[in-house]
Amino acid sequence: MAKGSIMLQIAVEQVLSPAVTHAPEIWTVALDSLDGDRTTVREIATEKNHQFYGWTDAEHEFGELHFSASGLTDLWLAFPDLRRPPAILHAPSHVSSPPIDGARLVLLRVRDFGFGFGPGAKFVLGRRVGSHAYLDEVLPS
Amino acid sequence: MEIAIAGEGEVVIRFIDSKGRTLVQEKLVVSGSPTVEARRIIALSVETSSGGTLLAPVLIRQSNPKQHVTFDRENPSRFTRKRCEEIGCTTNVAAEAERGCAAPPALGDAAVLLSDDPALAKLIQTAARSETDRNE
Repeated sequence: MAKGSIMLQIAVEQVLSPAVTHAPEIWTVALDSLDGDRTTVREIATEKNHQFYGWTDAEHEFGELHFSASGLTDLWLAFPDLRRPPAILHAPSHVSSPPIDGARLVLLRVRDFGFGFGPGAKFVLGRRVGSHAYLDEVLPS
Repeated sequence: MEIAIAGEGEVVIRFIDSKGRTLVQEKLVVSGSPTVEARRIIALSVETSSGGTLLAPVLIRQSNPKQHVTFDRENPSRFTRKRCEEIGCTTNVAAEAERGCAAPPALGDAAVLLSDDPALAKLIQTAARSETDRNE
């Protein structure tokens, strides 16, 4: 029985104490089962907010800092036959994917880099990364 | 450590050191169908200005009591207690953490300021009460 329209959303908000010198990587997955019928991924999107303030002692200085404006999100459709490689679709995508038959599991993965600084540097960090995907599962005609 | 979540909702987890100080705070928000699940993999140690520091996770808040959360496939409070003992927390810190109590990350010379989430919960409660009153 096809599941029809499916929404999948996940967000991570991370706040660090100034004592921390290495920010942990964000790696998280939302998953749901499918019935193995025909799946079309209608939309995959991601959004990120990021706040960073860094400072050093008198003997060091920060290099030029760049942070990505977005996290990396991809959506995996996995099949019961493990010899069949998963279908992997990347965000952002606002048009429907080609129909994919037989997937039994959908995974929405969100990643953002971990990073760190050596002695003498301190920082405060707050970041939010959130992603969503909309899928339709229908019976193959 | 693997944080496993079954069902929709928002969870807040604080990662404390042996002195009970929160070094990392994370909020995970999951939504979708009633069968949605989520996983978050995170190391239970972090580099600090005084070197590598071991952490214990503390489940602070869940917006949906029906949502099921585990830490490495164990009940969160049991895992927290065990991990607190492993990293050398005092009895008081371990007991508080097991009850889901840990202070937010300390504010230093600079800070990340967040919105007041309890205010949102209060707003929802007030709206729900008004709706109930209208229906009675």
